[in-house]
Amino acid sequence: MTTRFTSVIAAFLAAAVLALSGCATSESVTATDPWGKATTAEMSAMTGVFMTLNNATDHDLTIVAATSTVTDDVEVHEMAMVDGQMVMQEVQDGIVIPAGGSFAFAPGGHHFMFMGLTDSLEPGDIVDLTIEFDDGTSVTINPEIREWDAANETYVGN
Amino acid sequence: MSTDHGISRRGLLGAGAGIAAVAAVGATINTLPVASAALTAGRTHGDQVIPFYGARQAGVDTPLTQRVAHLVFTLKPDTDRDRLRNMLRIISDDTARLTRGMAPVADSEPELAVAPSRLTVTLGVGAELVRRAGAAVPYWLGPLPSFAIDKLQPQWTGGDLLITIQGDDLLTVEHAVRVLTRDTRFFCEPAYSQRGFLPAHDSHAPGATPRNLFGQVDGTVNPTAGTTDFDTVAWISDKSWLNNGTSFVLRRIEMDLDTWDTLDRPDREKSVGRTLDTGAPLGAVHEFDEPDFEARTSMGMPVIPDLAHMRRARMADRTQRIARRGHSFVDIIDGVTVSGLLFGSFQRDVTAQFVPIQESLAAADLLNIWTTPVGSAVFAIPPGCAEGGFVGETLFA
Repeated sequence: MTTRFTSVIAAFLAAAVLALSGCATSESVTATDPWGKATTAEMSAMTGVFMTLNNATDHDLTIVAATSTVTDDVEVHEMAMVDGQMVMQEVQDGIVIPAGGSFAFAPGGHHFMFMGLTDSLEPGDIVDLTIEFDDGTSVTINPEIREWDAANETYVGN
Repeated sequence: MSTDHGISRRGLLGAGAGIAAVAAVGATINTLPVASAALTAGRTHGDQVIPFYGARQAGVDTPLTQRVAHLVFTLKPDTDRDRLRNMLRIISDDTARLTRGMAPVADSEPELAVAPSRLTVTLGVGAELVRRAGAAVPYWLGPLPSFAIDKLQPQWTGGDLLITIQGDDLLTVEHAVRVLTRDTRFFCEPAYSQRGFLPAHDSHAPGATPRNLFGQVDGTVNPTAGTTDFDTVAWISDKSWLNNGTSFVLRRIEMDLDTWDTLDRPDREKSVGRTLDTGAPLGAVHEFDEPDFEARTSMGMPVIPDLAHMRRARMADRTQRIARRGHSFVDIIDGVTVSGLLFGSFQRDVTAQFVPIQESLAAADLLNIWTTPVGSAVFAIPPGCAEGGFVGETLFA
């Protein structure tokens, strides 16, 4: 499964956000197997989104922002050891996707965190995620929501 | 660029001091598991693939494999048309990968996917699922009529969704069971599951008719896959959502091996009407010889008894035939060993083809002495799909 656009509405909304932000859409960045962890109303209103980002350009790309129409609050997280405990926290320096290379976002590692979710994300839902890079380009991808029982790391953000 | 939402620039630029910067996470955590050469080197059968994509689903007329798992589910009340479509799409996505030896998205044990070993996944749908999808329910899709021999138990009967997983490697099969069960979790409750087996793929002559736990050669008269005969018996050809699909009857038949043990060999052979060594009809020489139902012994008795299984199952109307796909089972239930046959039958029309045969066998069949149907279910088997599509998509057309 590569990036899919099965949700016309989500894609449309994402495009609208892009137009507002004035970024050029990158066709050289692709996402392999983007997916997010299903949430229910009973769970905390945040969830992880995962994929492998591939950079086919000839220059390194640093992620400077991530947005979604699903929530106003998307962060890039990393796993780190804090006081002897593995926790997730917001990335301090922008993540770099090397020129001609890839970067994996995976449970237990780096991931995009959708915070402040007001609706449940159920398996099969298609969400949108726009990732902006330091060269002014961006890419919008459509992760599919899947069942996943892990990725319950403690969050140390504020 | 919007600054109202998204990653905080403060954090990205490293200016924020609020979060403790600590030891770097090891590089391995940022690597997706992939099938490495070390996992596959030197093997002979693990790479065997039966294609998932195609006009018809795999697992119906594809080669028999060593293992089967029939998983049966009941739809949750709030699983509506849109959710059904999502579920079926996810199942096909994951099946397409698993059958090629690739880990699906969100697989917590991706290394268990590397040896497909002829893995197939066949999807079946019950009447309730078809109704919720908004498609026409075939008249034959529902519980079978009750037969006098039946002792059906609810825990082996009915269901809204069938996922039949077949393959030669039990670990691969059980991994697929786990992945696909997780895929259904939001939409369905598990109803029951049954595991069955056949001889190992390489321990007998290729294509040999397998034997059941009674020692009988079982399945001789099946139509041959890929022939027009098989098409006529099993594959639906019409304008409906089931074009290139079929129907599946799954019956759990307990076999009483203890009372069977009290029977001498001639009586065992007479109960079916075939010899035990070659499976040839009584009075004939080879397995595939035509039986002579008129033949009499020197005493004037029928060579093939009137109540022999083979005679009772052979309908005068030759359109009343089925394509069987059965597996033995041995389960330990509450400490008691229970053995039998997971009888599977494909046909275009359950009512026109399967039911008359079952009525004949229920009325009189020597094998009924040692066999008891305890479970029964009927499913529609939708057509296959092309890459990018999903099995069941024709329900939503």
